[in-house]
Amino acid sequence: MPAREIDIQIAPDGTVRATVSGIKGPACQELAKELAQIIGQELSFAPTAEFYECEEHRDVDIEDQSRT
Amino acid sequence: MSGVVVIAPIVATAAWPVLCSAAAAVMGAVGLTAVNAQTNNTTDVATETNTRVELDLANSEEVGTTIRRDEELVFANDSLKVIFSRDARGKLKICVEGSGYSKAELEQFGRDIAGRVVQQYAYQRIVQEMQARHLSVVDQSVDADDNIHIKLRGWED
Repeated sequence: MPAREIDIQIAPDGTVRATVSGIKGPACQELAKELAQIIGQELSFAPTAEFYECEEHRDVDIEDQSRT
Repeated sequence: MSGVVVIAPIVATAAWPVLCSAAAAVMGAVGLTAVNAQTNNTTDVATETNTRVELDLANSEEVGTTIRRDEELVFANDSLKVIFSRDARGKLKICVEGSGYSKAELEQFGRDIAGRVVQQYAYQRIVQEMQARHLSVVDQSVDADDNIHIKLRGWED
Protein backbone atom coordinates (compact mmCIF):
# COMPACT_ATOMS: atom_id res chain seq x y z
CA MET A 1 0.00 0.00 0.00
CA PRO A 2 1.72 3.23 -1.10
CA ALA A 3 1.53 6.30 1.14
CA ARG A 4 -0.53 9.19 -0.13
CA GLU A 5 0.74 12.58 0.89
CA ILE A 6 -0.54 16.13 0.73
CA ASP A 7 1.82 19.07 1.22
CA ILE A 8 -0.20 22.17 1.99
CA GLN A 9 0.86 25.79 2.15
CA ILE A 10 -1.62 28.35 3.50
CA ALA A 11 -0.62 31.94 2.72
CA PRO A 12 -1.35 34.80 5.15
CA ASP A 13 -4.26 35.86 2.92
CA GLY A 14 -5.72 32.35 3.21
CA THR A 15 -4.87 31.08 -0.28
CA VAL A 16 -4.18 27.34 -0.17
CA ARG A 17 -1.69 25.53 -2.44
CA ALA A 18 -1.76 21.75 -2.05
CA THR A 19 0.55 19.21 -3.68
CA VAL A 20 -1.02 15.75 -3.75
CA SER A 21 1.38 12.83 -4.22
CA GLY A 22 1.32 9.06 -4.06
CA ILE A 23 -1.91 8.81 -5.99
CA LYS A 24 -1.78 8.07 -9.68
CA GLY A 25 -4.39 8.91 -12.24
CA PRO A 26 -7.76 10.60 -11.77
CA ALA A 27 -7.97 9.64 -8.07
CA CYS A 28 -5.42 12.38 -7.44
CA GLN A 29 -7.65 15.01 -9.01
CA GLU A 30 -10.63 13.65 -7.09
CA LEU A 31 -8.80 14.18 -3.79
CA ALA A 32 -7.79 17.69 -4.89
CA LYS A 33 -11.42 18.47 -5.73
CA GLU A 34 -12.55 17.08 -2.38
CA LEU A 35 -10.05 19.34 -0.61
CA ALA A 36 -11.31 22.34 -2.60
CA GLN A 37 -14.92 21.54 -1.71
CA ILE A 38 -14.04 21.45 1.99
CA ILE A 39 -12.47 24.88 2.14
CA GLY A 40 -13.54 26.90 -0.84
CA GLN A 41 -13.15 27.28 -4.57
CA GLU A 42 -10.58 25.60 -6.81
CA LEU A 43 -8.60 28.20 -8.75
CA SER A 44 -6.38 25.83 -10.71
CA PHE A 45 -5.17 22.23 -10.92
CA ALA A 46 -1.85 21.38 -12.56
CA PRO A 47 -1.15 17.68 -13.08
CA THR A 48 2.42 16.47 -12.79
CA ALA A 49 4.16 13.55 -14.53
CA GLU A 50 2.95 11.00 -11.98
CA PHE A 51 -0.62 11.98 -12.72
CA TYR A 52 -0.35 10.36 -16.17
CA GLU A 53 1.12 7.10 -14.89
CA CYS A 54 -1.23 4.14 -14.91
CA GLU A 55 -2.71 2.89 -11.70
CA GLU A 56 -0.79 -0.11 -10.44
CA HIS A 57 -2.19 -3.53 -11.29
CA ARG A 58 -0.74 -6.80 -10.13
CA ASP A 59 -1.37 -10.12 -11.89
CA VAL A 60 -1.76 -13.15 -9.68
CA ASP A 61 -1.53 -16.70 -11.01
CA ILE A 62 -4.13 -18.99 -9.58
CA GLU A 63 -2.99 -22.54 -9.74
CA ASP A 64 -5.50 -24.96 -11.13
CA GLN A 65 -5.59 -27.46 -8.26
CA SER A 66 -8.16 -29.69 -9.96
CA ARG A 67 -5.38 -31.11 -12.17
CA THR A 68 -3.33 -32.41 -9.27
CA MET B 1 4.12 14.35 -7.47
CA SER B 2 0.70 13.92 -8.91
CA GLY B 3 -0.87 17.32 -8.99
CA VAL B 4 -0.91 20.82 -7.54
CA VAL B 5 -4.20 22.48 -6.68
CA VAL B 6 -4.66 26.14 -5.71
CA ILE B 7 -7.74 26.98 -3.67
CA ALA B 8 -9.33 30.24 -2.52
CA PRO B 9 -10.99 29.58 0.83
CA ILE B 10 -14.62 30.51 1.32
CA VAL B 11 -15.67 31.10 4.90
CA ALA B 12 -19.05 29.43 5.25
CA THR B 13 -21.16 30.92 7.99
CA ALA B 14 -22.41 27.41 8.69
CA ALA B 15 -18.93 26.73 10.02
CA TRP B 16 -19.35 29.49 12.63
CA PRO B 17 -17.74 27.43 15.45
CA VAL B 18 -14.59 26.99 13.32
CA LEU B 19 -14.61 30.70 12.53
CA CYS B 20 -14.96 31.54 16.25
CA SER B 21 -12.01 29.34 17.06
CA ALA B 22 -9.92 30.83 14.20
CA ALA B 23 -10.79 34.39 15.21
CA ALA B 24 -9.95 33.73 18.87
CA ALA B 25 -6.55 32.32 17.90
CA VAL B 26 -5.69 35.31 15.69
CA MET B 27 -7.01 37.91 18.13
CA GLY B 28 -5.15 36.32 21.02
CA ALA B 29 -1.93 36.49 19.02
CA VAL B 30 -2.32 40.28 18.59
CA GLY B 31 -3.28 40.88 22.23
CA LEU B 32 -7.07 41.23 21.98
CA THR B 33 -9.32 39.18 24.22
CA ALA B 34 -12.89 38.00 23.73
CA VAL B 35 -15.59 40.19 25.20
CA ASN B 36 -19.22 39.25 25.76
CA ALA B 37 -21.11 41.08 23.00
CA GLN B 38 -23.96 41.88 25.40
CA THR B 39 -21.78 43.34 28.15
CA ASN B 40 -18.86 44.84 26.30
CA ASN B 41 -19.59 48.40 27.46
CA THR B 42 -17.13 47.99 30.32
CA THR B 43 -14.28 47.47 27.90
CA ASP B 44 -15.33 50.05 25.33
CA VAL B 45 -12.46 52.16 24.16
CA ALA B 46 -13.09 55.90 24.29
CA THR B 47 -16.16 55.79 22.08
CA GLU B 48 -16.51 59.51 21.37
CA THR B 49 -13.06 59.81 19.81
CA ASN B 50 -13.18 56.44 18.07
CA THR B 51 -12.36 55.91 14.45
CA ARG B 52 -14.30 53.06 12.90
CA VAL B 53 -13.94 51.06 9.69
CA GLU B 54 -16.04 48.21 8.36
CA LEU B 55 -14.76 45.55 5.99
CA ASP B 56 -16.39 42.60 4.27
CA LEU B 57 -14.64 39.34 4.95
CA ALA B 58 -13.59 38.36 1.43
CA ASN B 59 -14.97 35.07 0.17
CA SER B 60 -17.60 34.49 2.79
CA GLU B 61 -20.93 32.94 1.99
CA GLU B 62 -24.04 31.94 3.81
CA VAL B 63 -24.49 28.20 3.95
CA GLY B 64 -27.30 27.21 6.27
CA THR B 65 -28.67 29.18 9.16
CA THR B 66 -26.74 27.94 12.15
CA ILE B 67 -26.10 31.45 13.49
CA ARG B 68 -28.49 34.29 14.10
CA ARG B 69 -27.99 37.41 12.06
CA ASP B 70 -27.46 39.48 15.19
CA GLU B 71 -24.76 37.17 16.55
CA GLU B 72 -21.42 38.90 17.05
CA LEU B 73 -17.94 38.07 18.15
CA VAL B 74 -16.22 40.93 19.96
CA PHE B 75 -12.53 41.23 20.87
CA ALA B 76 -10.92 44.24 22.56
CA ASN B 77 -7.93 45.69 24.35
CA ASP B 78 -7.36 49.20 25.77
CA SER B 79 -7.30 50.94 22.43
CA LEU B 80 -8.88 48.63 19.85
CA LYS B 81 -12.12 46.76 19.38
CA VAL B 82 -12.77 44.21 16.62
CA ILE B 83 -16.29 42.92 15.91
CA PHE B 84 -17.09 39.97 13.64
CA SER B 85 -20.72 39.86 12.52
CA ARG B 86 -23.04 39.02 9.64
CA ASP B 87 -24.69 41.67 7.53
CA ALA B 88 -28.26 41.57 6.23
CA ARG B 89 -27.19 39.43 3.25
CA GLY B 90 -25.54 36.89 5.53
CA LYS B 91 -22.02 37.98 4.57
CA LEU B 92 -19.41 38.15 7.29
CA LYS B 93 -18.18 41.59 8.25
CA ILE B 94 -15.30 42.87 10.36
CA CYS B 95 -15.61 46.18 12.15
CA VAL B 96 -12.49 47.74 13.68
CA GLU B 97 -12.74 50.61 16.17
CA GLY B 98 -9.92 52.43 17.87
CA SER B 99 -8.84 55.68 19.40
CA GLY B 100 -5.65 57.33 18.24
CA TYR B 101 -5.60 55.54 14.88
CA SER B 102 -6.28 56.87 11.40
CA LYS B 103 -8.89 55.21 9.18
CA ALA B 104 -6.10 53.95 6.91
CA GLU B 105 -4.30 52.33 9.86
CA LEU B 106 -7.47 50.64 11.08
CA GLU B 107 -8.32 49.49 7.56
CA GLN B 108 -4.86 47.98 7.11
CA PHE B 109 -5.14 46.29 10.53
CA GLY B 110 -8.59 44.99 9.60
CA ARG B 111 -7.37 43.57 6.28
CA ASP B 112 -4.41 41.85 7.97
CA ILE B 113 -6.74 40.39 10.60
CA ALA B 114 -9.24 39.23 7.96
CA GLY B 115 -6.49 37.41 6.05
CA ARG B 116 -5.15 35.76 9.20
CA VAL B 117 -8.62 34.63 10.26
CA VAL B 118 -9.22 33.08 6.84
CA GLN B 119 -5.77 31.44 7.06
CA GLN B 120 -6.59 29.97 10.48
CA TYR B 121 -10.05 28.95 9.28
CA ALA B 122 -8.52 27.09 6.32
CA TYR B 123 -5.95 25.43 8.59
CA GLN B 124 -8.55 24.20 11.07
CA ARG B 125 -10.95 22.98 8.38
CA ILE B 126 -8.20 21.10 6.52
CA VAL B 127 -6.82 19.35 9.60
CA GLN B 128 -10.31 18.47 10.88
CA GLU B 129 -11.65 17.16 7.56
CA MET B 130 -8.49 15.35 6.42
CA GLN B 131 -8.22 13.50 9.74
CA ALA B 132 -11.75 12.28 9.14
CA ARG B 133 -10.41 10.90 5.82
CA HIS B 134 -7.58 9.05 7.61
CA LEU B 135 -4.87 11.53 6.65
CA SER B 136 -2.73 12.52 9.66
CA VAL B 137 -0.58 15.58 10.20
CA VAL B 138 3.03 14.36 10.17
CA ASP B 139 4.71 17.77 10.08
CA GLN B 140 3.70 21.42 10.34
CA SER B 141 5.52 24.73 10.55
CA VAL B 142 5.21 28.48 9.94
CA ASP B 143 7.86 30.10 7.73
CA ALA B 144 9.37 33.59 7.89
CA ASP B 145 6.66 34.94 5.56
CA ASP B 146 3.92 33.58 7.85
CA ASN B 147 2.89 30.82 5.45
CA ILE B 148 1.57 27.76 7.29
CA HIS B 149 2.97 24.45 5.99
CA ILE B 150 1.24 21.16 6.75
CA LYS B 151 2.26 17.69 5.61
CA LEU B 152 -0.52 15.09 5.75
CA ARG B 153 0.03 11.39 5.18
CA GLY B 154 -2.25 8.39 4.87
CA TRP B 155 -2.34 4.98 3.28
CA GLU B 156 -4.28 4.09 0.19
CA ASP B 157 -7.17 1.72 0.80
